Amino acid sequence: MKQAFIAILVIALGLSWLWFWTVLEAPDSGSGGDKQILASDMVSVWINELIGSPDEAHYYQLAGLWNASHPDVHIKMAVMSHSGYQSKLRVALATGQPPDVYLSGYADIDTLQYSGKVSDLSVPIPEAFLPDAALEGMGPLVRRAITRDGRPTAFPIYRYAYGGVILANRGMLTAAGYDDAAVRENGWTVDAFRDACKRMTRDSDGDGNIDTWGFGAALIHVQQLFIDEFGPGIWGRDVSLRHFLYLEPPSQEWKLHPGLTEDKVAEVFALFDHLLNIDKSWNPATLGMNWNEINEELITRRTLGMTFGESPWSAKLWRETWEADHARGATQGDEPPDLTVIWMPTRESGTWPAPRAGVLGFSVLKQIPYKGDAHTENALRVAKFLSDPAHLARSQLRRFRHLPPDTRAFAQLFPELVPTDDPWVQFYTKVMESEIPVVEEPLSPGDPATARYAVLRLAIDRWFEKEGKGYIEQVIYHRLTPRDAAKQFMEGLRAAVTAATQSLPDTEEDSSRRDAETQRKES
Amino acid sequence: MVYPLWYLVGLVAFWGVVPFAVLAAFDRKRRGKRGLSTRHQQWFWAYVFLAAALAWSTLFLFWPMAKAVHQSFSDFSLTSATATHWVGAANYARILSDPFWWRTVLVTAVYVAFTLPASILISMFLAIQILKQPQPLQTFFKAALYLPGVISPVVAAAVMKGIFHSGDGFANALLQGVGLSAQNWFGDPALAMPVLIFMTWISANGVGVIVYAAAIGNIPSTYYEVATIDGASAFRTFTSVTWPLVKPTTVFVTVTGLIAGFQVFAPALLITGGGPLQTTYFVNYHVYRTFYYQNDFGTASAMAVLLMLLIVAISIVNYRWLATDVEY
Repeated sequence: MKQAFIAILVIALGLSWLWFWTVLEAPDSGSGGDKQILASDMVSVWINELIGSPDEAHYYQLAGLWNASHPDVHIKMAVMSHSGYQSKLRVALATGQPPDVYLSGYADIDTLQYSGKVSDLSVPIPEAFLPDAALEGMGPLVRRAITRDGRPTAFPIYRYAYGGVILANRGMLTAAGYDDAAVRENGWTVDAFRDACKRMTRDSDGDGNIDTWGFGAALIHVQQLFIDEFGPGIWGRDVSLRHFLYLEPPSQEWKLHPGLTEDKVAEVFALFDHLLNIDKSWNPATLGMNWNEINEELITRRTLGMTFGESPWSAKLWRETWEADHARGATQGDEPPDLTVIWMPTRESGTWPAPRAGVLGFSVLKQIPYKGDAHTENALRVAKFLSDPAHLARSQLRRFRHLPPDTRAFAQLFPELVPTDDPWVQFYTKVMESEIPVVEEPLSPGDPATARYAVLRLAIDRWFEKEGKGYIEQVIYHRLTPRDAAKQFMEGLRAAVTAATQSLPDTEEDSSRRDAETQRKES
Repeated sequence: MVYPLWYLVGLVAFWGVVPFAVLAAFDRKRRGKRGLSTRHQQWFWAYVFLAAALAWSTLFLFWPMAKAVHQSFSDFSLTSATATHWVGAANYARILSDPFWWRTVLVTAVYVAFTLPASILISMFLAIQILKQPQPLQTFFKAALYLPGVISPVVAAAVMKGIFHSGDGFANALLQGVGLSAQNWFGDPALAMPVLIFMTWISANGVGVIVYAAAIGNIPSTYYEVATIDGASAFRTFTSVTWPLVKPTTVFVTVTGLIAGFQVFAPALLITGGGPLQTTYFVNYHVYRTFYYQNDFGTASAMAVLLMLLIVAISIVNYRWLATDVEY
């Protein structure tokens, strides 16, 4: 008993030591509404390491630079891998421990927002931190992508556009009789695209086996191919803008877009079927590959003529990547790839596909629980610092060739970094400043219609995960004809949207409308 | 925010003090005097060391499990607790009436059915062969066969993807070398699952080999001598001597293999994406997609609880079926 008593005393002493230690380590969070700059305020920053590791060292150096010159505000930097970033952000939000500043984009917060369970989490940026004139200089795409209720919600660091373009081997395309510059200028139809694929598919070494194919893509990409690559060229940009939904003008309710018809879905399915099963110009071996392996087939092994290209300047990026790898002795052969970017085909000539455009930038998250106005201001200062053009010159341009949002202003500051006479820079700028890309503008979180949109959008995503993309695969593997698959696809989609609509709570307008209809029927 | 360390300290104190308080109360009631009985005093240091381990398990295992179970009965929200609603068994009802859920269970069950028995037999066979070798070679082979188990699943998946590359991977090179045509391993619905099963056959036997080698090595040689004298064949010796006497080990390998098999996840995430045609869409992968891509934390938690119950049920059935003592 005596021994037990002594042990308990020792444990208690240890506990009290640990308690004092943790109390001393706890940072002072300050009081709400206090505008005075706090001493030793800590701002946590999460960065999504997009492609490679060079950014990691750079951002930690930036944090060190800030911390050395700002004793009042301490940056706690965390650079995370791309694949785990979104899931970590969601978990952090769910557990009430989000970062103060995060690299936003690719709809990180929007996908959470349209789930119907997350209100607007990004702090609106005051004019003092991002003047309206500066925002206007970045172009309408940027303004539309990040403005919510009249204020921007991110310090932009670059504009992106994905979907709607093809990365192609220019030599193979030319040999097939198609001029890439003409396709970029005028677009091309599905029939021309099929023809090009067929012409590129051949036995190049005369051994009786096909060894080059016109097109290739993986099974894990069929959803993207359907929604963002092949699909928009057939059903049109309006259907693509809000992912098959549209706001019906008289009722102001979100519904399935009337432009998404069974015929058009069947046309998209038929394109898959034609390429894989009829023309056999889609290399079936690429179905089981991943993105890097497919690009290797196109860029290094040159057994592939075309694949989806992701962004308008990807030909330049992949060429530079090849040259960097080649300098390290990591590639086979000495002849650099002759890559080009062209548009995805469309149903009719004179129309365009719908690349999905947006902005990557640094956003400030609303704190849970709220840590005060002073802390929010410090977070805004940090976010502005991280998006400064001088830092972008080092991080974004040095490795990823990401052109900053206001390309012209940046070119004036750093002319050696932005080759404005480069044809791919010119094409990229032309695309980003045109009306071709679709920009899904943020919806107002206070609008009841937004909550309904979020529920329907989520229902479509979930249905697509379980059933929707299965129809594409069944066409690919010849289990269903495109027409039958389209019929079942539309039936399933309409059922999912209807079920989601019925699960929505009644709004006052719904009740009034229902009462009015009931009275009308009774009379 | 209360630091996790403070939680841990509190839990150590809880597990260290509470059992003693309970024992002291029990002893006082039974003996009528204060203090612990001699027997319970001897448990003191055991409890002190157990308290740390139990505290850790409580914080990082039992508590998250309890939270997941609680979450499975709710419509968990990313905003705040006030936006989360208690939905009762609605999540469970929806899952159990979802054909897609049962499809993923079937896919996983097929994977387990084809990997577990083979893994047991392969492990046992390899263990028997290893035991015929001199001791240094035994150590070498045990280490060599155990190594795949310590490799990261990510690395293993990358290696396997390279071997079964649809273009000119090693497997296709072998096939073409003997005049057969190259296969679309992960792009063919008929081949993707068999490839994953084959990958498991050749790489997941490490633990089984080690435990079977130990178990078979402990079988007294007199049994084998008697079998030899009686003229038993190798097969009869195996079925009548080796197999019954290593049954406890088989129970262990079966139960652990069932748990690991039903938790299969890495190949779907890293190689197949659940396809083609959802032929490799495992239950755990379904839980992952529901959590991180559909943000449906409540449903995903319910799926995780159902998976746990499924594994427990099958393990109990297996244990009762296999765990019969054999003595000669």
